[in-house]
Amino acid sequence: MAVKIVTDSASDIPVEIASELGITVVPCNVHFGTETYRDGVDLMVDEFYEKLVESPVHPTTSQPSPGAFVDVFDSLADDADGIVAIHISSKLSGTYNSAVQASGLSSTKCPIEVVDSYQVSMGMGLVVMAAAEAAQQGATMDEILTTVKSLLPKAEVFCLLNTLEYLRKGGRIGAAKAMVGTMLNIKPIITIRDGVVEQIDKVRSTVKGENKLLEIAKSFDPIESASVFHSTSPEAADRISQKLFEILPESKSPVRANLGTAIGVHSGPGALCIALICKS
Amino acid sequence: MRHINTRLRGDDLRDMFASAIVLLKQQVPMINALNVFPVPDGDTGTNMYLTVREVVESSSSIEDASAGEMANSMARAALMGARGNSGVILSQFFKGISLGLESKVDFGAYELADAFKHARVQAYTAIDRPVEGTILTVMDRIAKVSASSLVPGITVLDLLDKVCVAARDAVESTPNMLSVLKDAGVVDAGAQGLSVILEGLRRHLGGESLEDDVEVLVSDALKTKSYVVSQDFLSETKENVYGYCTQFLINGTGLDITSIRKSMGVLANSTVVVGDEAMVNVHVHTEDPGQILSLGTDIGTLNNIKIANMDEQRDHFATEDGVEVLDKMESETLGIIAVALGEGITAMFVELGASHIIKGGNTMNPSVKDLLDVLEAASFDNLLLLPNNKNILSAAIQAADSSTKNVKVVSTKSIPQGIAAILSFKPEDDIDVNFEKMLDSVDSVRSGEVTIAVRSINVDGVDVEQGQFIGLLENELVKASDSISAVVLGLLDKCDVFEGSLITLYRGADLSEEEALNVEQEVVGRFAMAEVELVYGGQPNYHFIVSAE
Repeated sequence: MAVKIVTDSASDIPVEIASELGITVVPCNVHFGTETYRDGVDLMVDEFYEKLVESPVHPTTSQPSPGAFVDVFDSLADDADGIVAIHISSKLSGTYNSAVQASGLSSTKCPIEVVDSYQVSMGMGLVVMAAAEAAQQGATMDEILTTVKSLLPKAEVFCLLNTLEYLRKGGRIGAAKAMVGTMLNIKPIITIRDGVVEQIDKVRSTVKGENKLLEIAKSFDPIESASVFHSTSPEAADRISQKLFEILPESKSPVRANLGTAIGVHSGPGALCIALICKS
Repeated sequence: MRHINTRLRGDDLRDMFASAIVLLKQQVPMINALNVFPVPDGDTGTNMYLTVREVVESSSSIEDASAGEMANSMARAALMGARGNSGVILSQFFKGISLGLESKVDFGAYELADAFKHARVQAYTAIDRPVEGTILTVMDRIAKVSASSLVPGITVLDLLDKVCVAARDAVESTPNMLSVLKDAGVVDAGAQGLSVILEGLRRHLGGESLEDDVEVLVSDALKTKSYVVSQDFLSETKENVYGYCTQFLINGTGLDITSIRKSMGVLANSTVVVGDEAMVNVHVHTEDPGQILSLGTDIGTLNNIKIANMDEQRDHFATEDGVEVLDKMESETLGIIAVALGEGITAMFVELGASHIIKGGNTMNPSVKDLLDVLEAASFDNLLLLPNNKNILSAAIQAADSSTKNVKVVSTKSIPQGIAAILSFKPEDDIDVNFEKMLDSVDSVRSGEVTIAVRSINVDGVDVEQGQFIGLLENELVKASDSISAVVLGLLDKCDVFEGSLITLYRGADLSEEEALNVEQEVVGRFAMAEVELVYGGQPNYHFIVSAE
């Protein structure tokens, strides 16, 4: 028996990696008007971004229900020493609360620990992966929790967005922080700080934006691990991935991922992001 | 869901309101659009939001406070920061909470019900002539429903569930109580605002999303109607004179709120006077603010004086969409003054954070005095001045030297340099950091202009015939041609465009969009390795301003 790792689909961990590392991913919900889809289950990314751009209603997201978590916890509990569930920042989603509620409702005796990552997407995804690797190597629940809690403060996420419009529509960024015009085509660079979205810079061209992302990444050298992920820009992601690997020699090759629907609702198409776990 | 069975402390109280402002902020435009009483000026949502935000921000640094201490500090902040009629009434809501939680370490449903009862009393007594069908009605209903809901074991969340239902019902009933709302076809804005705040508190405890789902927030009455105040109502009330909204703080000792309220009430409408013996917040609507102010100075020292012409606001509300722009209201400590000409270019600077625009450019150089007047009148002590033209730079430096403010001139010599500079502006950084960043960003921008030669001439070795398009790169003539595309391409050829460069074409007022699109296509064809952006600058005389960076 081993410790099981659970996260939500806002971690954007690629399906192959999740299954290889034995990570259980609970889907968040995406709503287009009255239609509800489970992220990565009923709605896949390619179809989603088309829908996002074309749909007359702006979609919203919602956390998995406590019931969904209870089902997951109960089904994992039978052959687990413990369950560690790591979730998207509670300041941006009710997922963490849902999971905490479920851990109280679950009838199993198997210990369940729910962790608020204060991060999103691969910023928590990389930490979840590290936890799952430790679990596969037989680490105890306490050891895994120690690892997770030491890595989370070292996780950073930076995204070059095509527009702030989607974040604004979803209410995930304050108007004061979001100073971008409509006259010029301006691309914001955002990060997650203390669990919330913050705009840290803005640029007018993709090339400048990509260079800025690399500059930011370089400033965190040395890096333990990195990820490059995007909503609809695979070529740009390739480019950044390659360069990131060159400038951060100590890092492992960056994990490639797609922004799933839960986060994609807020990033919109054309988003290019990096996640880093710093060495110190 | 850790809150469910526990008693709540000071931090919880503040965090509940922090969540409430997230929800409220999204509703600001809608609440503004509902605003018809007492004056249809479309600012209720903004005022409520700014008031609660002030409460949350000023208590954000307090840690581990008891519920009583936190509520007390929040009430104080509300009194100081209350904006507008609805904000002042809201400050009484906070005062009521502080009375209900007074000397309590933590609180549960019973204390909260008591707080709502106090809030009701405080709000009704603060107003010279209370009117039903407003935010007061919501306070009344929630106080009553709280009192009747108390059963052993009830949690704060249980209580808030009931309170929110009662609040929405109360909002729904406002048009039946206040005929002006019925005439305008809306529910009361302040009532809706408080209902949204309560919903935010509830969602915080319930761990629910703070997303703006209108389905839940909006009463059934509203769903079936449009959110917009009826045009009939606006035209019928067109002749009404509302006067000036006048608001200020009086500091003093032994202030007698009741007598201040009475004497203000004789002279003005919509009188709301709140506070304590040391500080009083006065809000009135009057045709003669001078009279009110001098009454105030007889009583104590006046601070934070705000006077707004409501007739003007009303006219604006009737003609525009009635929504105050929130971004402009955010508190700022650093102002940016940009010299610009052309509606598009002006709009760009404003959107990117300029607080003032001085009209000026190649054909119109503002004087030192013009610049100085704006610097001195600006409400900021720290100012960055962007001259955006080589010929205005020295006047800008002189104006900055003569100013009593801390002014730094960013030596931008063209509009594109100005845009690059203001793009690097970060409101959270101080003037020195912003100044350095702006200077850094200016260097990499090359820019030129396209205009028409007014006479035949040979300049800088280029033959020019009258009426030809000419291209000036940093004021040096580099190309003349009958074709505007040829001139733009000739300019860009000298600009060191490379892989990943950004070319911007600012279209002038004298050039049609179609012609500009043709030029853009030629530029894209020639400089495939660059990103090209065509924008409307609207500048006079120059068909194009062109930049490469």
